[in-house]
Amino acid sequence: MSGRIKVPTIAALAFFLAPSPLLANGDQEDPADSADVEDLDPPSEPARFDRDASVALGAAVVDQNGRSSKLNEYRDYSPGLYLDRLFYSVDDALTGRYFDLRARRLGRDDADARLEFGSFGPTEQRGTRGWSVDVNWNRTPHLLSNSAQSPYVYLGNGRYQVARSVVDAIQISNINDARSWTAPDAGPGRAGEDLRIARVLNDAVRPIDLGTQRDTGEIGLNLLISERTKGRVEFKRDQRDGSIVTGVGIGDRPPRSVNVQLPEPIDHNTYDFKLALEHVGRNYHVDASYLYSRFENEIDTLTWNSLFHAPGFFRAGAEDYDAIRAGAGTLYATNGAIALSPDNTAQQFVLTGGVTLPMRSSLTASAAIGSMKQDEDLLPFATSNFGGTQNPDALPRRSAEAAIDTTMFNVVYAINPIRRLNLRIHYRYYDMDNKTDQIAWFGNTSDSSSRSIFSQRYNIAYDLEQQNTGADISYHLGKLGSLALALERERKERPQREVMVTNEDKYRLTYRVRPADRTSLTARISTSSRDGTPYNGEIVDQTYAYDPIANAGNANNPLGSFGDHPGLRRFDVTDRERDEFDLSLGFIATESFDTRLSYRVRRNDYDSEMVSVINIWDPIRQGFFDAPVDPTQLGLLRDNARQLSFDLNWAPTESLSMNAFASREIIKLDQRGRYLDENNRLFGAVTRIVNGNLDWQDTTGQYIWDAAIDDRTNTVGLGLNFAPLGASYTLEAGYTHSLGKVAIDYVAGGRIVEDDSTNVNNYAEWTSPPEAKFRTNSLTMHWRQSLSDSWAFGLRYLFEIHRVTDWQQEGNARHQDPLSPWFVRDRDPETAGTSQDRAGSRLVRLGDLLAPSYDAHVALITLEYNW
Amino acid sequence: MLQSSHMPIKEGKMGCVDCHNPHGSYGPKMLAGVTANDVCYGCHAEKRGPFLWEHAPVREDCSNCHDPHGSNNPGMLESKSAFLCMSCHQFGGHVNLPRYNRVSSLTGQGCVNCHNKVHGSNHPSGSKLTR
Repeated sequence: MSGRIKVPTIAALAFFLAPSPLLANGDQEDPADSADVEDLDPPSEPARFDRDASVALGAAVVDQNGRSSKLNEYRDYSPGLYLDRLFYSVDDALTGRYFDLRARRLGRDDADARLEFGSFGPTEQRGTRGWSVDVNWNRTPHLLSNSAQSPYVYLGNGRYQVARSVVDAIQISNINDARSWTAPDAGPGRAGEDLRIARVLNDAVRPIDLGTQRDTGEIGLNLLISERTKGRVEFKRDQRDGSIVTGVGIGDRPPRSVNVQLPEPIDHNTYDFKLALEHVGRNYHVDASYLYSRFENEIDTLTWNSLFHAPGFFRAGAEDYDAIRAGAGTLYATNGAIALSPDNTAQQFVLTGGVTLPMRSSLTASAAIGSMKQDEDLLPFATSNFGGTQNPDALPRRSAEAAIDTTMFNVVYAINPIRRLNLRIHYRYYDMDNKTDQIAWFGNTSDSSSRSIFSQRYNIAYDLEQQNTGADISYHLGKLGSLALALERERKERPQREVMVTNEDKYRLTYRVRPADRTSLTARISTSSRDGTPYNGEIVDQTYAYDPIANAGNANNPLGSFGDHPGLRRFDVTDRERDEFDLSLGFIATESFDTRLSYRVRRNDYDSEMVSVINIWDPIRQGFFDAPVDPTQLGLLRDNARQLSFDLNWAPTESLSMNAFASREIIKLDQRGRYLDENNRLFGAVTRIVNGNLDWQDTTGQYIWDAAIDDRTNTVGLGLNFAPLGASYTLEAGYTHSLGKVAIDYVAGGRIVEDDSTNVNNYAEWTSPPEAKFRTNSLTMHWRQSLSDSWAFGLRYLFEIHRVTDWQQEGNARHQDPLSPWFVRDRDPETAGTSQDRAGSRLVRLGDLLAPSYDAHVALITLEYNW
Repeated sequence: MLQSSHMPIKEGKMGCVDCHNPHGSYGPKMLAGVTANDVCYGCHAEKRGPFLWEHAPVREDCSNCHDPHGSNNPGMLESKSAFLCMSCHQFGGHVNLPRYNRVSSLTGQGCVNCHNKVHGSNHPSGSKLTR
């Protein structure tokens, strides 16, 4: 490791501490006044300029099997030459001016550089006047895959196209297409339709890039206006381009949708302008800041042609966006479009002040106001075949006109009224006011024409108002340590959520003690209870455009349905009991040996008081009635996270230091769900019992499923640094091991009904998947050898093993979703044309395990020259 | 920080102070912003919106779904996709079971295979966050 790089602030500090030339000349202070001076050698006059520079050239040699992108996920280990390090610094002791430049890995995708220059002013002005300019440049790759493939070709400007020949070979004329009926295992010489499609895809796919590159540039001006006042002006440009994985679909929902994974093009620019001012008075301080941020996306829309339907194949004139309807007169859209991240702006002004008050007390307050705005032009409605709504004039408004204002106020009063006792009272208010107009938008479902009231939905402008009020009191017990108690109430109002108001009371007790010399212990226990009642079961109705009177008899009237199951309490708004525990034990055995042990627990229980009756509309009786509902809690029930960590530092000699750490984290989540048949959810008291004794929510409990998720991570690390005094070399070595496992224990009441995958028994049937595993072992070594006063040689070596097994990323077929028995259909051909016909799992993927396992050896050789 | 899905901290491209201010802050966890989401928007302004169709838990707190300190799930998600979604969603227009073996199946990105705009949609027909 080079010891020549120094931080500019250290250089600046050296200026302040170094003897002034004026003092050295004895103009202001007589050296004889200091008794100690007589015994010292006459001080030598310091050099006015202090220069320091080094440059290191690097060469990388890489041996990696499999070319997995994971090795270079956030770094650039590609082989070849590069500029490993560049450093130049010069300081002028007389004027206080300085210049500092440092850069790393120039020419690489993970390069960064910093330039800083400025002036502390002449000696007599230091600390009262000064300025500096800093320029930062940082490149960060995020490589997602080296192996992704797609039959689509990118045409630029967000447009993807798959060749007509591929579409002709695959296309499904309708969801009852007889061509799709041949099973994969149809027998020798009779390759099934799915296998044929797999071959078409495998022949058609070509490698595509998947990953992004971020380049961030920032320039800032710092001004020391006076001894007590300073300011900063900053401009930052963050540029990100490349592509990420996205899934896109044509059609409103399964089974009427056809999907592919595509690389979503990224061409983002974010411009930030910041202004900050700070003033520190004798017994007060105040600071203010302003941020203006603008995000620009150069690609507004992602469009693609259907892999499954060619223009004119089924019916002329069906080439518009995103329309698939089952049944007679079926239309199949041949193009899809989604709106990508919209341009937006944000502003925020923050003012903070603090003042010291009598009786050893202080008051600190902050206020912030902000706004976020977005007014991107909107795409046409999706289901454009019905009623000519592809014309943008049909939109209720042509642009988003979305806006949110935020307000924050924070005040803290702290007092030390008597010896050993500290009291702190705090209040925080935060308001997110969503000003986006709520109107009805068309074409949200293709069940009916896009302008039909049944296809309209209101956009909901979610609001939040939060207040936190609390007090902390702590008392020092002398040698027995200190004890602190904190109380807080958090109130959140969310007018458009399933629970409109939640109140949470939090209690925290902290004990700190040093039971013996060199030993410290901190224990903290906290508990909180969030009350999320009553449940607002009508919230989903707000999104529908149904007229309760005009549509009183309509089967889909949301007033007559449990659009949001009352047994499901969204985990972020529901009742919650939370317990937390932290324990930290530190031990400093000697000046060269210290160790720390930490243990933490986070536990949430979301059980709530369930309702067993809900008042809903009966479209047949044309009146409200009390419908019984099963009060079983669904969704996330509880989670429990425990982490034990240990670290150790030991420096047996001045030349040798070692460290080690180990941690074990276990996260357990319990979830529950159930089979809910939306087609049976209506007409509560009248037709709840359908399909024999199976009602829509299946109160028999037969189709309830439970999943216990066990997610654990073990990490171990070792480090060594060896730098013998007077030796011409240094050695560093490190090793890390990380093993993550995710197991899901799934239990359901269903049973498999052979050859009938649409049977509800099969819906509930799903076996526990194989355990997902992620293991990474990294060994790093760095040897630096000085060859002379100016030259040094360096060798960095990395050996890394990465193993991944993840059923969710892997598949039986490389480009087809593997869970469905068949790609086009999931149903036995014998029932063709019956009501149980279902479309298959029609997702064409970019490949399985986009970042697979690998072994890699990386050697970085550097040759360094120092001035 | 050493989990499979993580911020580029061990690679040296980020540090604790990119998100936390050890000298104090306006909110919990010593975050360097008025809210947790304000911190996230510092690098992910494309998620800032506001959007025509909002996803309420996303607007309120990114950490409802993501663990910024790393996880064993892609995208630093708190749990596997589909199971994460089913923490809240049980009745949203189609059967809500892990094995719903159509395009909403668990493989690939799970529910996000279709509901690709879970951070918010700006499409006039994007009420289901699919466009």
